[in-house]
Amino acid sequence: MSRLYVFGACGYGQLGLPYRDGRSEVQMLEPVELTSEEAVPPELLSAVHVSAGARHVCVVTERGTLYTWGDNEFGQLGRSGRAYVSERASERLHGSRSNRSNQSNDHCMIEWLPYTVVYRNK
Amino acid sequence: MATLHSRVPQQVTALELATISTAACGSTHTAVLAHDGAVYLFGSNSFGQLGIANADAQEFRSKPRKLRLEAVARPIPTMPLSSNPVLLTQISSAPKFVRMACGLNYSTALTDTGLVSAWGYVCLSLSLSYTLILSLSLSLVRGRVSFVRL
Repeated sequence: MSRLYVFGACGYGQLGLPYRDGRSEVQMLEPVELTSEEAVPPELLSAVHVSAGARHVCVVTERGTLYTWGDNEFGQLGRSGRAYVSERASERLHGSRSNRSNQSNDHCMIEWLPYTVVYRNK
Repeated sequence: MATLHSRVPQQVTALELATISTAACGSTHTAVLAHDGAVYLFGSNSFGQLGIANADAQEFRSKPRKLRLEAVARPIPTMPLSSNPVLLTQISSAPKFVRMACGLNYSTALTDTGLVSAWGYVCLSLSLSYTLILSLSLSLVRGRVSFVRL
């Protein structure tokens, strides 16, 4: 068994936390443990390897399966699976709509919104 | 405004049949190493980081693709942008990968015979890209490479 903790920016779902009442949509200021209570698949708690990109995360489990979550703008999750960030959260992330329109191609600078994923073996 | 993302951790079912040993994230791409020595890549290929010559290869965005290497030895590239995976020295006929790592917009993989392959784009500066290529080739001169870490 292992434990996963996440904190920081989560505007792209990179913390793996579902929306919930009273929880900020764009950031978590304190570490949260990913548990089955947070709608995390139980197999994820046998993580043996974790890697984080600019806005996406992948985890390899003991059984050799791959789990991903976070930004899928470039297909970096390796699966379909889409959700849409709310208008309000998106505007808080990117500023006004007009600012965002210049950032639609692959070659723009990737926004580094800091977030952290910690895992430890029990 | 619509932004494509997934909040819920989910299994990558396209790789269901493979046993994964490790995975590495670039800024917008992902590389996965399977137990059988295959490397799978998916995500953005805008800098050739998936090892596909056609930079606009959108069909592989959400679809893990097995890495294929060119079966010819090539000289050390002088340009930092390399869309094709290029082995920095002689290649075995059927490479088995044992390690793998990603930078922001590039990927590297190590075969069981100690050969390093690198592709994608080192975008920080030209001198850094030379340093990377140089240090890889130096390690090759000194002997077997046993680990790739970026």
